[in-house]
Amino acid sequence: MENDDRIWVARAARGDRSALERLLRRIDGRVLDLAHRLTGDADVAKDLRQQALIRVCRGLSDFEGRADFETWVHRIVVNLCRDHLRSQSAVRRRTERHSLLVGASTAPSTHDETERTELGQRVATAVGALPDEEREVLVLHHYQGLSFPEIARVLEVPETTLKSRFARALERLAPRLATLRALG
Amino acid sequence: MDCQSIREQCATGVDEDPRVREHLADCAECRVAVETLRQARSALDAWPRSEAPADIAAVIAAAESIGQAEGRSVTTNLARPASRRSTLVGLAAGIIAFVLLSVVGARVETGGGVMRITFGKSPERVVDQAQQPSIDSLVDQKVAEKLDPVVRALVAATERSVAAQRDMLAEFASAVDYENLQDRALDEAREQRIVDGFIDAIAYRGRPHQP
Repeated sequence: MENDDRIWVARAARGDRSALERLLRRIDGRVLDLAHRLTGDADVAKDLRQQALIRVCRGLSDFEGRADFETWVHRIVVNLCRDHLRSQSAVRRRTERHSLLVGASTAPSTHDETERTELGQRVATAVGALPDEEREVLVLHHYQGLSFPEIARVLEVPETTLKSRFARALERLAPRLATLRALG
Repeated sequence: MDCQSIREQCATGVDEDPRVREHLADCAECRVAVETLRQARSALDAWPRSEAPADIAAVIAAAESIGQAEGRSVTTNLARPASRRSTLVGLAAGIIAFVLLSVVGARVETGGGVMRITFGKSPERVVDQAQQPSIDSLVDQKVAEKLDPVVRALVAATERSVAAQRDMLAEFASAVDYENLQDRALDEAREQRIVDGFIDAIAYRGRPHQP
């Protein structure tokens, strides 16, 4: 955790509202993006983002800097997403949501944008079809930019296991994404 | 290093290892596989990032609302709430203290922001016990309540008997001479006092208990 984070976390934990707002604004985008990519549902992601930020507000006084602030936030979001996905009985339903989310959340205005959006939609569908544990590692590493040691702290899984999962995820995706590139 | 570990290292971005480069130089199959993985990874970037800023004020308000419902300040004053463990420890200590104080007969009184612990009976309890009726008095009261109608009937009968006796005495007095009249009157008065005393005694005994 950056020293800057420590200061703002400490101030927010003591009741400094402006510090709390600053922290929440800083993590807001990443929280939404993580929830979106893990669940594949834009509306669900917004709800989970709200829940996650509220948990951050309420948990700051107990946080005490025992873990990295961002690790703690990521863990909150991942756990919320897991709870949500457990409640979804069919992987197919989730895949369909992935198909819908990109088109629903963007408004293409040019031919290039349309092509980009369609490709993005197909990538989202492919990622959504991955097993949960592989999708978590892929999203945290590729889209959230976390290193494997950081992901190991978030998921509490050994680094070697995470690297294997990440490689397997890419191997699963490669044929589908290669087809997309050929189509694109 | 085998092909699988080489591909795994390349997938995770660890491809600067000289051993990896040596393997790729000799293994065409791995070169294709690694290139496919790199292309797949670059294709992931086609999925755009989600952008929709949250209403931070609403988030904080929601957190505050939940905190208020739970009886603690959550956001504007992020006072440290008691942890679950410390709450349980405090509760256990309180129960133990209560039991110990009860065993030694202590009384805990609070008021004016001060808590006092005293031992022995309180003066109020002693006075209360003194004011309570004894077992004997309770028995007397119950007996009196049961006997009350009987006593009342007996008193009425006695009064009727006394009245009848007076009438008889009056008739008798008129029938005797005047010389004996004074003695008779004295006897009558003495008899009347005896009767009145008897009536009073019964009436007193039959009176309901007045605490």
